[in-house]
Amino acid sequence: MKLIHCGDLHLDSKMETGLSAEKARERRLELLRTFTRMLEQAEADKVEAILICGDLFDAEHVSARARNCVLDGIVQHPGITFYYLQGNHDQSSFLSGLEEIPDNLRTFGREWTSYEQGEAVITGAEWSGADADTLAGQLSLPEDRVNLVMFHGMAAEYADKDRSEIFSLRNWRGKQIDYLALGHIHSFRQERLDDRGVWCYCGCLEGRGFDECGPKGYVELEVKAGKVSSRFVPFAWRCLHEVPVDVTDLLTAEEIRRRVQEEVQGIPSKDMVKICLTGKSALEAEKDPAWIQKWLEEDYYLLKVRDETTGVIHPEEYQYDVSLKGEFVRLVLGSEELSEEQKEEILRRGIHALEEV
Amino acid sequence: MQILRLHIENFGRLHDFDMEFQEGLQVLCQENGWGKSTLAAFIKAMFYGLPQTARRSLKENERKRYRPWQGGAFGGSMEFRAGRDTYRVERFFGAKDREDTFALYDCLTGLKSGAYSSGLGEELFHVDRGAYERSCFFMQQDLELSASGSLNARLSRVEEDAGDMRNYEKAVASLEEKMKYYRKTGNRGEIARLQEEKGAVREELRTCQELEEELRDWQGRLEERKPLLKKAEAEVKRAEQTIQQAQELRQTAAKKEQHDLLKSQAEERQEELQRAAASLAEYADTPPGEEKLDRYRERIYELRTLKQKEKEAVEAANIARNHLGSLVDARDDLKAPGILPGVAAGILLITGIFCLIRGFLLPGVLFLGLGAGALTYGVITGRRDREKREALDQRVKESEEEARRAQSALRELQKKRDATEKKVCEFLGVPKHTEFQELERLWKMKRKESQDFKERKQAYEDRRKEAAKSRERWFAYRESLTKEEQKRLASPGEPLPELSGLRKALEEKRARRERFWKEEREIRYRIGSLQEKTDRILELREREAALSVKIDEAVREHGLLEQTLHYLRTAKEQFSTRYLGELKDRLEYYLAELEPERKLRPLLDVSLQVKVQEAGAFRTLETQSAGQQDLLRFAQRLAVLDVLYPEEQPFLILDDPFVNLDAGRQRRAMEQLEQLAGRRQMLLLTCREL
Repeated sequence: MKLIHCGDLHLDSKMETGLSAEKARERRLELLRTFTRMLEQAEADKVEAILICGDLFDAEHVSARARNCVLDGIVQHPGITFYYLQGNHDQSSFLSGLEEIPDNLRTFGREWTSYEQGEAVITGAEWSGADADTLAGQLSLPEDRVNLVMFHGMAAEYADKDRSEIFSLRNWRGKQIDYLALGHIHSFRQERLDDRGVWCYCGCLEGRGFDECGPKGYVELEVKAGKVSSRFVPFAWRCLHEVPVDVTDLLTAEEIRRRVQEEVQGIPSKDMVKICLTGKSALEAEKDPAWIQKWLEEDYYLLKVRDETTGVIHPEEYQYDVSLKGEFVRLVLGSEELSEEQKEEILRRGIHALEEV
Repeated sequence: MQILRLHIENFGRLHDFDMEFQEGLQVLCQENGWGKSTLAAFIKAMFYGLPQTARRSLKENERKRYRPWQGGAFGGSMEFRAGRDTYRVERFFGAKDREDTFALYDCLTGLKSGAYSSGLGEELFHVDRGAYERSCFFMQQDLELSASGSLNARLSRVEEDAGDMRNYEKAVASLEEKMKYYRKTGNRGEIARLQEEKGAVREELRTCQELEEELRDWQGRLEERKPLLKKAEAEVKRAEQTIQQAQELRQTAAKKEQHDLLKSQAEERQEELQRAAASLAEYADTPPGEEKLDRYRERIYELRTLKQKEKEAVEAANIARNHLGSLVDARDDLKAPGILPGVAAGILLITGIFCLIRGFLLPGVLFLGLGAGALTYGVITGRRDREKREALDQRVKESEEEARRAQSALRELQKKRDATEKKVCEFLGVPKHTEFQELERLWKMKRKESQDFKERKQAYEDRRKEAAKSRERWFAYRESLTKEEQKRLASPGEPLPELSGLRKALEEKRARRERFWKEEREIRYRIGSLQEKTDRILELREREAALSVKIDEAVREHGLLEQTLHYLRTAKEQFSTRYLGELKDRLEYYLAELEPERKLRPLLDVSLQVKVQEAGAFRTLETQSAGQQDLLRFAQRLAVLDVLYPEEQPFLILDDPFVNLDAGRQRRAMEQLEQLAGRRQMLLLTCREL
């Protein structure tokens, strides 16, 4: 029996990568399409159940298109049972908006609910962020069955009182769990839970911002002879890449551009790339993110250039500079009102203004 | 500060070069190309090292420019006095600045000294490399300047002591221009444009959010309507059920009526059947059937025929018997055939044979002939009689046969007649020998009975069938009813509800439900159209966020530019006020020394530009003669040196500065230099003897 563990789809999400309105709209559609592509793949792979571990939607407002797309996807695949556990982003808008719950859609509540699925038992509970220990204590699973447990939250060895989304993994050990299907973290991660089972974050299906770089997809599970095996399936239509480029010692815009081009080689053109210029850069260096942007923006779906270099300023170099520049640098560096970052920015602008004429 | 000597291992064109320096003014007269600029660059390199620069141009990159092409150690050493102490600085240079080495030795002890670091020049003179280079050196870097040989041109770089002061206005203009891109007067510029765009987006967003409120309101109304609709639907359902029940009751009643009707019909048919059975039962024995009657009627007629035939057969038997008697008589009358011819023939033949044996041939033959004749006669007559007899016998036999047959036929007939008569009489219940007419009458009576019976039986059969059919219909109908209905058959009939009232109530409830449906459809339509509009919220929020980011960036950039401008202005003010007054004093002092006639009335502006007052107006140096320009710039240079180096006086290199001065000024300039030589060490490079 094959199953899919997915989550954190964040349909109808705001795009915060700096895409144009048109591309942001297209990207939202791509998120929906990836969901339907996953269903088609599931059908082709004879998957019997799909476990959606929270955050199917991004916010309370669910667009008609997203709702219809998901509902249609569920109804059009009657051979697949959908287990939908709501996450902290889902606010019941989808379920409450349905006139009728499809037969193949199974949902969960604040208390543990179990469903039979072939030789497995799928158990889940929606967590409000309060008292996860009690919830974990209430979990009772049959020892002789394959137990898949769905949950949405941030797993840690110890819970943090100040962070309500964190639950402690210690309370989940020895609970006869074979596979703890988790949602909330947007990157794939799998670790051993105890002697019997593992816990796994499937990650999101598609990255939406540059904090969601790298391969994204779902986890395919196979339950066979009382055992669960799993493998991560990269499935995102587009990936996001954050590429740090050290431009220390580079002075001209051309040198920097060539270094950047070397670093981004091999990234597929349909992906989204954020270039971070790093290292220490002389105040006189010709760093021109717009120049790099112009060169590379047509090579990728999205290209952003961010200057994260720190300026190399040695105050002693200007100590004896008898010039307006020297006076300016000393004045700025001696200012107590400005932060180090502001000082660098002001010096760069002032020096360029004095030198460009 | 005084340079004592230097040794150049390798530096540009100078190789293994040593030079001793004296106090005050030292004149080095060498032809062009000797390496004066290299020497100057070496002295600077000893104080300041070689600059770290990525500039590829050989002209600008001193490290590349002076790297010995023949290889070997790149650098050298220099002894100098600073205060009371004497030091030797050793510097060697690599391809990159990190490969450079620096060492400072105290010449008294010969040990390494930590008095100065590799930033020796800055520590000694308190000016950086650029300022030192600009104030103390005139190297022939610029061919045009060099070619002019003008002190004016050379000293013009003195203005660059103020470095970028001339650039100040342009830098300010550039910064202001950039700021204007972001903010222009009259609330224009990029920030205003972005804010306006954001305002429009926010306005649209606000409208959409209001619509979202409205959407929630409608969704709430829909939720409120749902139970009402459900209630209305339930009421309709209940009313429909009531009507259905009423209809069922009516149907049940109709069914009961139908059932009762069928039952009574069946019972009626049963009674009729019983009556028919009783009528039929009046016949203890079943009268013969039509076929049987027909058969007996045939027999009656057959009996009559048989009787007729019997009569005829009796007559025929009598005739046959009589005929046989006559034939028997005739046969009896026929004589028996004579044996006489035979015996005579026998005797004759025997006699003849005997005679022949005895030898009596003739008698024998005669006798034999006679015997043969007798035999032939006997045979012929015998055959004729026999044939006659045989014919008679045959006829008798035939007649006997015929008589027997007639007798037999008669017996047969009699037997048949007896049997038939017996059957008929038994059938009709009459004794034998009853007359045919009687038989016929009796048979007709029988037939009448039979027909009556048949009719009764038919009637009975019909009733039976009808009763069965009726019963069957009744049972079938009863079976077709549900158990519930069957139960109700037994129960006494309930009063039937009034359907029209119920229907009216149902219609009212349906109308109410329809009203709710319509309202729900309208609400859903409203929700749909609102949702279409509110779906834009996401996009608008994105645009708002993107615009906010852009505005923040623009505001930040504008703020940074503003701060830059502020700091640049403050720097300029500080820089000007720090040096301007002293420079003015020193400039006037040197001009008084060099130009005792005081023809020139200079003015130093905030950007350290020297101007000359002439005919009540200030004019730039370019309006003056070359000699006057050189003089002014020389004075300016000396003033700058005084201002820049209040403590340790640096080594000054002058490369043929007085070519444009007239003899008087040249002399005064040299005098001034010599006067200055008491305070600072100078090297005057020249191609000609002064």
